[in-house]
Amino acid sequence: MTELQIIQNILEGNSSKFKLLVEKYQNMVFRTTMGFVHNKEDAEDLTQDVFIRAFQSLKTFNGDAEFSTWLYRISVNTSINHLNKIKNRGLLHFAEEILQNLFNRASDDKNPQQQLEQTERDNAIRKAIDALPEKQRTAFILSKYDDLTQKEIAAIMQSTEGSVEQLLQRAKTNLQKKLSPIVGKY
Amino acid sequence: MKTEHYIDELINKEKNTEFNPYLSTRIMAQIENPMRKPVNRWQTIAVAASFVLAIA
Repeated sequence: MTELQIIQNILEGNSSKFKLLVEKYQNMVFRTTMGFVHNKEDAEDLTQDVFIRAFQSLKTFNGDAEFSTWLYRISVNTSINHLNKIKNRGLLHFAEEILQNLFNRASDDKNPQQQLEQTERDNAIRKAIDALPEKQRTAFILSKYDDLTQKEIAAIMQSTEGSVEQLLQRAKTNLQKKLSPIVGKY
Repeated sequence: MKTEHYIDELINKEKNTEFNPYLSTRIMAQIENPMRKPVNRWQTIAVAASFVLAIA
């Protein structure tokens, strides 16, 4: 059964067939959302939201692009909307970071000094990625977390390969600028 | 170069994070029973954070 046949089947009312698409693409969606939120539980929640949105708007998928391209777009939009929504939840995020660090440290075999350095370095990198302008961040995540080519990223972002190349170059420069003084400390 | 190495290291760690094996089941349950209210994770975090702060 091809992907288009599965989609047709779902649209005819056989919603259980959607599981085939979920199983095929959950890893891809999870990785993308992970790039935006850097947290397993949030990425799982977002993966669920992405598939629910995809299911609800499946009738708008016209087959012009690959299904994966269409799903990537939903993943990116859902992740960005989520981040905009939680901007004002700084305190909860801070609490979550502390909890995560506590659990991470307990399961790590590095000494406390090394653990502290790595946690601080990882947090600085996450913050630098999150601070990138939206388009740079999207291109960077699709390139690094999903290993997509510039052509594939251009299709998802409905842009050209040239502008994706520029976005990736700027993202790299911005990250280097922001992180070199911090990472150099360790 | 060192910076790039650390960035790649973190990304690889995050990329290799394994998700809950029942994720697809959870998604399908939500799709087939949309009236089921998803758990608000922020409530769980708030409770856990207050618990940790209380014993710290």
